[in-house]
Amino acid sequence: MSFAIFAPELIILITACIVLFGEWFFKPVDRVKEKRGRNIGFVTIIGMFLSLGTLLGFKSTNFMLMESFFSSDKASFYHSFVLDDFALYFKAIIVFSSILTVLISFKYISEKIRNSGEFYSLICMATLGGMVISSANEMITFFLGIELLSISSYILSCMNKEDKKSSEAAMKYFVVGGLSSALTLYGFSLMFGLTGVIDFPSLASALGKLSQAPQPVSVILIIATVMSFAGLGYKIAAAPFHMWAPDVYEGAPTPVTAFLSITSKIAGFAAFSRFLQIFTNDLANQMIILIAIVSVITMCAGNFLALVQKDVKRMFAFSSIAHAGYILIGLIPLIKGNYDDFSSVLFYLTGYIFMNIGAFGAIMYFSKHTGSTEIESFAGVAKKSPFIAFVFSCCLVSLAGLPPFGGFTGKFYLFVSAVNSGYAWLAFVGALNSVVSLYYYVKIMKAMYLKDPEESIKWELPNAALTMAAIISIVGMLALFIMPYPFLQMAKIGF
Amino acid sequence: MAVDSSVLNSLFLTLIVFFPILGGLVQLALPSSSVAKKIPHKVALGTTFITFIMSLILAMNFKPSTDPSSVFNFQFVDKFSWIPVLNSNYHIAVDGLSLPMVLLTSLIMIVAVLASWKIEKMPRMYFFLMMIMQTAVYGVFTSLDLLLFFVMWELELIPMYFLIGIWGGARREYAAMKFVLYTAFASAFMLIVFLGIYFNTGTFDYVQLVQGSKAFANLGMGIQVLAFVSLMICFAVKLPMVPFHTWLPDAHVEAPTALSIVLAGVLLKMGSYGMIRFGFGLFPDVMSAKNTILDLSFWLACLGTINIIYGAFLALAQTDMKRVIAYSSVSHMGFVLLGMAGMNANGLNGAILQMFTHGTITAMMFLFVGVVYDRTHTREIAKLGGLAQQMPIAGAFFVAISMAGVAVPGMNSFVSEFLVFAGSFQNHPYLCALAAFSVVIGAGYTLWLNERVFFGPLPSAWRGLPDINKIETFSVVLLMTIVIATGLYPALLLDIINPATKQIMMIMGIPA
Repeated sequence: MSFAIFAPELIILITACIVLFGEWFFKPVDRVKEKRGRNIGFVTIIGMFLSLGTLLGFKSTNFMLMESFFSSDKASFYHSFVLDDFALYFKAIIVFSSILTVLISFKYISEKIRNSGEFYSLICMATLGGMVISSANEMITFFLGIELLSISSYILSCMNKEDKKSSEAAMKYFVVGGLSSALTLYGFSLMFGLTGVIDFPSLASALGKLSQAPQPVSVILIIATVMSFAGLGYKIAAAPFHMWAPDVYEGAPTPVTAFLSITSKIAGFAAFSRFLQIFTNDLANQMIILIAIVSVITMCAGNFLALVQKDVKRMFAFSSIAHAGYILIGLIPLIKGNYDDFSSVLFYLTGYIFMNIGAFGAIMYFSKHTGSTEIESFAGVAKKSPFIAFVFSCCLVSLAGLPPFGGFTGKFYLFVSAVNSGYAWLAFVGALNSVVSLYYYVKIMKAMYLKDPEESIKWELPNAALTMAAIISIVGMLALFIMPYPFLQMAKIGF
Repeated sequence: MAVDSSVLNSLFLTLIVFFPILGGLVQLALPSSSVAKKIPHKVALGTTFITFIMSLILAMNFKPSTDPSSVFNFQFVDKFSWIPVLNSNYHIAVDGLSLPMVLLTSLIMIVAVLASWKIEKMPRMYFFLMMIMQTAVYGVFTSLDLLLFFVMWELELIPMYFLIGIWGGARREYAAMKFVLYTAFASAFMLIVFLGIYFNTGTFDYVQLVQGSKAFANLGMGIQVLAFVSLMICFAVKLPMVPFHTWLPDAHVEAPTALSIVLAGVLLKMGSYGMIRFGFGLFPDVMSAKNTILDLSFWLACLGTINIIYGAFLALAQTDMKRVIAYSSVSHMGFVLLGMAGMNANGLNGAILQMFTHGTITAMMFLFVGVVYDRTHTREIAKLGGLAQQMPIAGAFFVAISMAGVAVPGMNSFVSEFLVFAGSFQNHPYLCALAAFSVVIGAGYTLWLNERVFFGPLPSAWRGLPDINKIETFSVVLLMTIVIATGLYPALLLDIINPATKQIMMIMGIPA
């Protein structure tokens, strides 16, 4: 058994523990609360960077160091925890997106959250959950990761204790999330009952044999599949399991909204991708049909409901639902076993980080100054903060899938993968949906640029962390468009 | 200056395409104190001027006639691998079809920058967006990779949205949104067709597609026609073809003068360029199929004629000066469609030349709407009149422009319209005859507009208006010189266009 592959998670775990007591550690050093919050944030970022570095180190040295010092085993805890390329890539983007989320929320946290140590610690815990999901090779570890992520997210969304909306959001999230976890668990238990195994590879072969089974077994199998699918569907907010998302996104503190829509969504897709690989033969074909239908409903629901939203955070909830719909298209090649085309999902998720980080950074910055997240309150902000408004519009253009940004390339690969798997009509629906989405993204740009501000005072410049995140976001989006090839190579995973 | 046009990856064309963006980035770096001294305006003018000089060098070094057996004459080719996984390249080049368009773009952009000399609202941002748009338009006219073409096509959208939306007239937000949604919806069709082509052939490369599998040639005629029509709808929105034209008057009326000039002068040509390059080039069998019930050239001629006559009647009925000219654009772009439907060298030559001539003439028209609007702050025709008494030079020029507009011999529009009629008459004599009547209506609305705005009694409110200034005179003289020069000696352009036309005819298998 090798603990070495667990190192990235361990680092995050240690960081979580350190920052949890951060207030206490830093109190003698720094008496000002805001500065203390910033220091704790720095520690969090350093911890996450170390973890990311370890992951990249594994990859770039091809596990050489690890093999020479520890064992060459890439699985741990009796094969319940594996570190394959799939896990590596997902973990890397999960940690990376957490870093960026922390980066954009520095200011907000130190000003609005009473105990910043708790916040950063919970962010680390949720990130850890996502990482565990990516590596999980059997149902219990998998569920453990999901719960770690979910429970941390419930608490995170009520971090604004004074805000009623935040508490309401957390309550809703908790109830719906609890239900969905229960569904997943129930589905898993049925699968275990049918097959008697819990690790994914044996489960896949056992379920494959069961697919031709007679009446009662096949019905139970369907129930198990649908239950666990629905439970995971809640996690990525796929329609028709998306109802919680708008309220939670609107009510939660904005950094948490960013976290939910980026890191949590990526982890959700890691979970989905792991889960879907247990389906083979007939089951796989049925699963593909299910995914195609859910993807169409999700795209349409997200985009059409976003059209009428007046609150930016709510609109982004629907936008992230729509994006989940696009990404679901890319899971079809995964079920078919075509991993080359599945890389489009990884590529898209990478681009999705950059687009959303820029957008949420801007939303946080604007809403801090205007005191509201209504789209109308963003009127004329381009005159007050040209740089952030520019980055925000680039993100919106990219989210709508227009060149010259990564969103275009990502969507393009997704549609290509759909056509390659024989689902050209999905690509067609996706392309038309992108046009619909353009309307509501442009609505924000319209407010920012075409409307006149109420008063013409220039705002203070964004802080260094936000500026950095904004630059990373725009450079990332451009890089994914201009030279997508290196990223695609990285996303091509061998399993 | 000599540049060898046959060298691969000489990067000269790349330089032209991306030079405007460089100039645009300089705009962003300018300090805010420079605005008062009109530095952004001067930088923009310098950028467009240098690109114009470079495009002239490009044209001079272009060798029009080459191997008569080849279907291509692509020169200044720059080709690099862009996305190897998708077999997509950064592949740009010019030939006899795209070179006139590149020249036109360079020319119109100079006029547009001069026409925006009075812009005071955020000039750095304004010129930055304009320069991005210029690069995108160059990209559209030179891309030989379908994916790159699509990217450039979409890239033009966002700057245009902001340019209309921020610097436009009263209903600018509505017009900008309408423009974006129309174009984006149409380009979704294009993306789907291009994806289909890619999956059928495995390549995005125009040259390979024409030489090899011709997009959908291996599939049935039904699929080919479907794909062709989808692609045509995308370009028809941009052209604009009736019934997809309704965005154009709104965009024109709300856009600032310079944007109207660019919109009518260059952006509409992207539609017709796409039709000829990709519609004819990739679907030769569809267009040249004669014996099917779906004789597409007949439908194209019908739509072209409808465009010409419907646009002309609408122009006649407008009360806003800019709307008259916007609808006259619809009418004149119909000639391009009619020329294409001729399916012979004359018709196609006429269509391509009409793209160029309409660009130059309509730019002058919009320039003069700007001249009148700047001084009187109205475009309501009923309120105007007798302006020639106050602005004699402007009046004289506008008469000359009107002459060009109604295609008087000696102006380049005469040559192009004549070629269009000569070409389409062979194929569709009745439609051609019908369309020819529009010349009368065209003369009607143009001269009537002229009369109502510049002649007749002068309302007292307009006493003491200044005549056109030096900048405006320079623009109009520049364009007028080109209109008359190519009108008297059309070979200047036709020598470039004609070989390209013959090659397109060869691709379609029609004896020239």
